[in-house]
Amino acid sequence: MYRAQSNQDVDSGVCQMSVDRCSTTVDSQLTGASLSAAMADSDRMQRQPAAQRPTRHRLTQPRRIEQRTATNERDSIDCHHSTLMAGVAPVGSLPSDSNAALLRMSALSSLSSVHRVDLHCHRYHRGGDQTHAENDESNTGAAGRCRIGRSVADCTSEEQWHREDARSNDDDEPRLVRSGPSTPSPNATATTTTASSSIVEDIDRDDRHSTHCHVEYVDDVFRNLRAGERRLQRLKRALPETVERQRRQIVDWMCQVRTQLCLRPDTLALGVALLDRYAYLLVEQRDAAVLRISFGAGALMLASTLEEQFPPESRDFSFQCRCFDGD
Amino acid sequence: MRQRDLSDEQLRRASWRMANALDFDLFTPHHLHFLRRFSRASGHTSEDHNHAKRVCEQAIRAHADIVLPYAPSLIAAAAVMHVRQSKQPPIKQWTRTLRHYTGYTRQTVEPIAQILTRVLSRDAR
Repeated sequence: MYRAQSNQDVDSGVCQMSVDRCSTTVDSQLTGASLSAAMADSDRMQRQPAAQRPTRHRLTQPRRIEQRTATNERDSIDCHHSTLMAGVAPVGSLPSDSNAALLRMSALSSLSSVHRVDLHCHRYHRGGDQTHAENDESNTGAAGRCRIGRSVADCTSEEQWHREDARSNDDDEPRLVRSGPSTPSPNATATTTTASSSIVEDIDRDDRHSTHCHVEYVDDVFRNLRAGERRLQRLKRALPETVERQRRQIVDWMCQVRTQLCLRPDTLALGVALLDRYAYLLVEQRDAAVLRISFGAGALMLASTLEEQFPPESRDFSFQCRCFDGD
Repeated sequence: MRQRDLSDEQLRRASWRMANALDFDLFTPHHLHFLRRFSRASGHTSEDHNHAKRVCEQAIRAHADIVLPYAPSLIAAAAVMHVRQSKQPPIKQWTRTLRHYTGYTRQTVEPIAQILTRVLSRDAR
């Protein structure tokens, strides 16, 4: 308990610092897009009763504006902050002590994603064993590091990848030459030509000097994501017909709830992914598995705790459960 | 008592049970992680990106056809291809940029994009 508390203290301290730093740049860079985004945010804020409004409100708002400013008009496509966050955090990095983990989780979810990146990077560089194991795993397929998870069967053998990679190397276009599997090589990929499709365009070139986009981590992030994806493919199980039908009803309900509670698209995607993983566990454990609406709501609650800036309360979800029209 | 009449205490317990069952390993890669980057590599406008997001959201409802056999990044790549092909005029090309950033060749993604289209039209009915 004490540990979690102190973590939060540290977090909010860092938080304060970054706000001070960024508030100088916010005013000068405020664009139309970011203004409307900020207005949408404050709109959303006002819909919450004042009592529930967190005290960190003043801290979080300017930072959001600043994020939007960084991404400018390509805002919706390009904010890979949360992707970055999800990728850098090594799987299983949360402590297994459940109490501390959940407290930590709630502490994390109240910070902006830029911050979460910083925090996770720290953990990443400090290098838990898990992180290194992760890297090793993905480095084994260094030559074909991108071709993963084509199907369940493909994921099983390492040799098959290499063979596939060799095959695809000589089929159509030549592969981009990179200096190494782990080092991002900005100069090798930096090309400004967009007209010719025969040259790989460097899509990060505009953000290379941006301090908000963390382009230097992008390779690591995606290696981690692909490794996680490969592990996920191994967990996947075929669901029985009844469970399949229940899953469809629950996912439909989750889509509705997402609209009703104005959740982020990430929350829905993560919620569905968590529900699936729980379903695989259930199917493995017993033959007559039943997916209930409470699991759907539980998955969505967990996802919104992780992704949302202001996660809805559990009574909002229990209210939404009454609108569920499945069995 | 109907299954849908749940108190918030019950829901909290359910989510707690799930988190324990998943061993607090709550990070799961999903299509949006990849779709953002792929959309960018494809040079999509925000409208196209929203379209691709919508396609993915519809696609993950079908478990046996889409979610089970294909990895999230492949679903995202297929959605990007679907959007490119449904543009006016359709863009058939799978550029080297896309090839590099998605890690999939056109030959890999094309069948999945067709399956995606079939599933979407089936579910729309």
